[in-house]
Amino acid sequence: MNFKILKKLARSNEWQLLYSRAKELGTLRLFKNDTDLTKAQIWMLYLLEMFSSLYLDLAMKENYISEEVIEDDLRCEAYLLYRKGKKSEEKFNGYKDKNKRVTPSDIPGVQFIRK
Amino acid sequence: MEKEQKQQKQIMAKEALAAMQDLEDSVKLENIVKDNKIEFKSGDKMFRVRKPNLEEQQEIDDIRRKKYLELVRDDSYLFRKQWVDTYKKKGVDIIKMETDIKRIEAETKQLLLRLAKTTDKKIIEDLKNQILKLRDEMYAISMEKTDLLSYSIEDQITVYAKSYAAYLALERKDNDKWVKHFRDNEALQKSEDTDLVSKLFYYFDYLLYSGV
Repeated sequence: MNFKILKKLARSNEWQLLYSRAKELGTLRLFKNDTDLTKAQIWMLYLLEMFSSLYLDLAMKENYISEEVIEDDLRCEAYLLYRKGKKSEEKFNGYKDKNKRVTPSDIPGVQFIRK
Repeated sequence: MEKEQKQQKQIMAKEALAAMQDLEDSVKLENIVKDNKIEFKSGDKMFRVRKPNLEEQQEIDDIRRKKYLELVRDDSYLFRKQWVDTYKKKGVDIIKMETDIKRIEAETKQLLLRLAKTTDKKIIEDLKNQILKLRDEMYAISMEKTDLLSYSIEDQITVYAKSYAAYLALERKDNDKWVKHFRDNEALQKSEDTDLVSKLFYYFDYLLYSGV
């Protein structure tokens, strides 16, 4: 399978537009068959979702993403790896905060004022 | 001067040809993606390969199981693990090859993370070259490992099942109707039509496996 060409198609405006409309409408079909997908079709869906998320990151002005990165396969791979690491780090920090034990000093003090 | 112009023309012609090929491949692949069947010509006949249906898939699994039992009973066939031990006695360390692959993967990951965070063009090119070099090294080791283990029971079963699936998936166009081309898998194995057989496996791989 020519992965390079599959990526080129998935990255294209035409397929990205089709993919986003298909997700929105739910009735638009990307392939002639709805079930029993081939490996090529599964890869195509994966790549469409991947590029869709990259274009979203670009629109959200995330760090280290640019048109140049999206056009370059190796830099795309590098960015996705970086993003995965960043997300799991964020998830871990969130988990740490959630499970942080409350110590007496964390409880807000109450001040009684005599009138 | 004239020679230079001629050379430049040749380069441009080559580039145009490559671009055309690229475009043709894109169209071909796009059609495959839209409809999981591939039509091709061999000789003066039209053929197509398609993904085996559920019933055929069960037939393939059945054949795979029978072949597995046959090979297990045959003492001249060894499992992957047995081949690994046999090679080790001959001084070929497959476990070390696997460790090397993992080490290269880890090194590549570090370089990729550096590549993600840089915007300097020179550093980008340098990192990309280093990554590609490491990947070449990894593919070479991986290919060697695959070659060494190609006679294992596991690999032989995969090859046999793939051939059987290809026989089931090949159809010929006869009076606007698609009919099965080979009577059975044996007919495919014995076929002397090398053009058809090589095209069949090429397109079948294209359709089913992520042989990228």
